Amino acid sequence: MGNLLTLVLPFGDVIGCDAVPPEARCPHATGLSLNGRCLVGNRNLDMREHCSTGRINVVAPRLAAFICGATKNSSGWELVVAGRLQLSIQNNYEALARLMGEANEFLEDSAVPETVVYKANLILEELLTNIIKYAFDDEGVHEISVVLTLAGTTLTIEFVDGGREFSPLLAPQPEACHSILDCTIGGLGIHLVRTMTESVEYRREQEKNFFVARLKIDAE
Amino acid sequence: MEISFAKRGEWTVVTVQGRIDTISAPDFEKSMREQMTQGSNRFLVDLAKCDYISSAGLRCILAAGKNAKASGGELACCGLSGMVKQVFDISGFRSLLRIFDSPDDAAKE
Repeated sequence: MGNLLTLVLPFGDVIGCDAVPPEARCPHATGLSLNGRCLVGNRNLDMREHCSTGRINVVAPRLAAFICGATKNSSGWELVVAGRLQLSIQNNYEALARLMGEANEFLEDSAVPETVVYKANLILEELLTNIIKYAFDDEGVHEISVVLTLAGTTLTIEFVDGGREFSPLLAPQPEACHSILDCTIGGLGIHLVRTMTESVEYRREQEKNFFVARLKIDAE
Repeated sequence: MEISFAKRGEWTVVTVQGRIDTISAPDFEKSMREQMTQGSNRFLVDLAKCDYISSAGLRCILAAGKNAKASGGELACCGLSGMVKQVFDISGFRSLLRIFDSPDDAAKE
C-alpha cells in the first residue's frame, strides 16, 4: 500500500483546510483514515461525483472508510465519512473475546465517546452470548457475522446467525424480584440492550436471524 | 479482571478491577466460593475500579449474594458510577442489594 498516512479524527469533528494533508483532498487517496466528518478544502473538486463509489482508503485490513455524503458550504466541501468493521466468528467464547478486542480497537481508533463504547460492548456481548448459548441445537461449529458501521452520528451493529428463530424484540421483560433469594434475572441481557439502544430491528430471512441495533453518538 | 479481598470491620471488601463479563464471571464466582469456604459471608463488592459489567457480571454478583444470604450473611456493593451505575439501575439491583457510596460509608454503619 506504499507510504501510509493515518489521520484519525475525533468523531463528529470538522477540521479546516490547513489541517488536511494534500492527500486528503483527493477522495481516492490511500491509507487515510477519516472517521466522522472532514472538511476538505478543495473547491475545484466536485466530491459528489465520487460519493457513490467513494471508497477513500484502507488503513488496515480490518478498517475501511467510505464517503457516504458530501455537502458544499462557504468554506469548502464537507465529507461525511463512514467507518466499517466486518467480522465473522465461530460460536465459542474464545472467538467472542477476540471479536470484542477487535471491535474495541475499531471504536477507539474512531474516537467514539466512552459511553458509546460501553453500550457497544454490552450489545456485542449480550447478543453473541445468547447466540452461542441458545441458537444452535447441535454441538457443531457455526459462523456468526457481525458488522459495525459508523456513519453520521449513528453506530450500527448488525448480527446474522443461522441458528433457531429468536427475536430479541419479543423476549419477555425480566420479572421484578421481591427478594434476592427468589430472583433469577432471566432475560436481563436483552433488557439491557433494548434499554440502551436508540432502536433495534429483527427479521427472519432464508432461515437466518438478522438483528440490528443502533446507537446515537453524542459528543461528550 | 483482577479481584482482591481485604477485611474492613465486619465486611470482607471485594475489590474488582477491570471487566466483569461473560469471560471473567467464572473467575469471580470461583474466588467468591473460596472466600465463603474460608468462613466469610458479609461481602462488600467495591466497583469503583470496575469499568465494565454485563448481565453475566450481574448474575454472578447475584449468585454470590444469594449464597451469602442463605448462610445468614449479606452481599452489598459500593463505588458505583457512570455506566456501571446505570446498568445497576436498569437491572433493578438497587432493590435487591444494599448500595453504599464507599467502603468508608459501609464501615460506619
